Amino acid sequence: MLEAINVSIALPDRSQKSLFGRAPLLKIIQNVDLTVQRGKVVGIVGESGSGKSTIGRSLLGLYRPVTGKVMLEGKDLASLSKEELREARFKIQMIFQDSQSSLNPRRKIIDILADPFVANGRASRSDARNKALALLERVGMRPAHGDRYPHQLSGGQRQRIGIARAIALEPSYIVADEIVSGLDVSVQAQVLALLRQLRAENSLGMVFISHDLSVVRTLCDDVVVMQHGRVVEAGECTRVFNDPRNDYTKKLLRAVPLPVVEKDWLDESRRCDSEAVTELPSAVAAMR
Amino acid sequence: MSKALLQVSDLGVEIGTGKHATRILRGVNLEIKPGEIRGLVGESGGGKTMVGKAITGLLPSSAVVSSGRILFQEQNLLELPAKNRRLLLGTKIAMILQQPSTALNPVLRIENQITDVLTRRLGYDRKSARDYALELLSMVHIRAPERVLRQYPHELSGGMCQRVVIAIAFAGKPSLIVADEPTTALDVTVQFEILKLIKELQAKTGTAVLFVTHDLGVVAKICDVVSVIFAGRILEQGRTEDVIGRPAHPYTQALIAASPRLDRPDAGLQPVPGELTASLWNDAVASDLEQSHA
Repeated sequence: MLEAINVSIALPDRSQKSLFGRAPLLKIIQNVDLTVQRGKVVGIVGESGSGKSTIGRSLLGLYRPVTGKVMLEGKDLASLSKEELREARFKIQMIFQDSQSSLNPRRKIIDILADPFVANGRASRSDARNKALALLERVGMRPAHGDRYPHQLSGGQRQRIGIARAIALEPSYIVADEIVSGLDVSVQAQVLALLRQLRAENSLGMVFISHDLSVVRTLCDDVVVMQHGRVVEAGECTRVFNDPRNDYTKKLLRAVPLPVVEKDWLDESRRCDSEAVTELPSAVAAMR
Repeated sequence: MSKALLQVSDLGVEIGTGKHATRILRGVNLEIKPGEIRGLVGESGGGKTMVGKAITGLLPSSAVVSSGRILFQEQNLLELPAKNRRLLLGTKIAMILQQPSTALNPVLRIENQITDVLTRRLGYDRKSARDYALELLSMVHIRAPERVLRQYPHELSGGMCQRVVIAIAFAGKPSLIVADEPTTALDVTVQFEILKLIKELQAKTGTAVLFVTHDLGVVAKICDVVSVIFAGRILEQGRTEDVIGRPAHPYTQALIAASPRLDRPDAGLQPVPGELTASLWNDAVASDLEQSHA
């Protein structure tokens, strides 16, 4: 289990920094609780600046919490020694939004994928190459793609490479930060299908950060709604999306344009409470 | 039936010349009636942005119009001298771009960016331009217009910047606005507000809008009619409720099936079949060959 317990993170606010001395700290997220079980996908939704990415990064131990702690399988990340932290990090990997800038443009795909094995002494160079080829296959790409450079792949293919690199060392948890945001819907559907498959095969626990509520609804088991650095609502996806209790969650859900023609959708006076989601319960009932 | 405001027929655009030419648009036909919102929807690389750029005359210098006409108020824009075409921009045709922060000049105050259009194109003097700028900002529901006029783009949020861009677009009471993914960079609640604003102003002024987007949801909510584009060709067009509700073309069907659905979590996310897109590309290339032999 990967847990954030009452985590608050503060970072230096450079815009307020005086010429001398330290920049004052600005609270980015406050008292956030989050639990990811293996085999489950937890979505984090919220608008830009709400702290979604910060909580994702803090799960990898990239920020030191001001209050609270991040626990990986019962151990506080902050209490680990350097060596232990290194070990722990094999278990949590990250996939980034911008596949272009997260892959080294001057290296071939095969080398990028072989790196995790070599860097951690898990395999020799030649052995690592074979493992990299196997990874390519697992994310649905051909061996020939290994000889290409990142710019020679499409956005969807590059994102597959990002995923392949993240699963290379068989992690238990993955933090995926807006990984389908820049993709066309058809490519997005492929990448999400791959994520589902990997989760099932490896019982991966996943934190899926996204501003797109529809994607979260289709992929995630649980969801955490954030606003201004705080969790305003959390729970099972079915519950939160069908019966949102928080006003902000309701507002978010209402604002999502469904591909269904509705002439007076933009007319706000028409909408009160959770009208926009009245179609939901029947759809969910049909699914069960 | 009212007459078309804009009629694009058989529009072909190529990038590069001779052997290295790549076709971007292949015989695009598109019509916009006065006061109508026409959606143009497709995936990246489909050519939707190029249609907007061809209409506004903002094609990159490497692009060549190889065929077709663009009739705007019964005048072929492609035959107009460049200078006259430029004069249409900001007066009769305006644009709203995707990235509000880059559409505005970062080193100019909002006031100068708005009054620039007013004094250059619309014959305002400095004093009356300022007054009209204030009026425009209130029109797009900016609460403290006086203060915003003094600010720079980086001091405003993305939604505020987009309001300013919209104010500039509507300033000349244009007959046509080309809006290229105007809400894609915005948060969903801000998107809602901006869509509402565009619809409100459009209804008030009777301006027609070409709404370029990849988002079928947005199309469903704001467009009267919609065209679906892929590989530089319009595959299907019609009233929004027909195209979204009962799509006739397999590509449109696939696109809808691929979209994740908030209301139907069990549906959606069907990847678009590779054979379908491949055969559409083959068709497109075959039509190119036919044309080059003819």
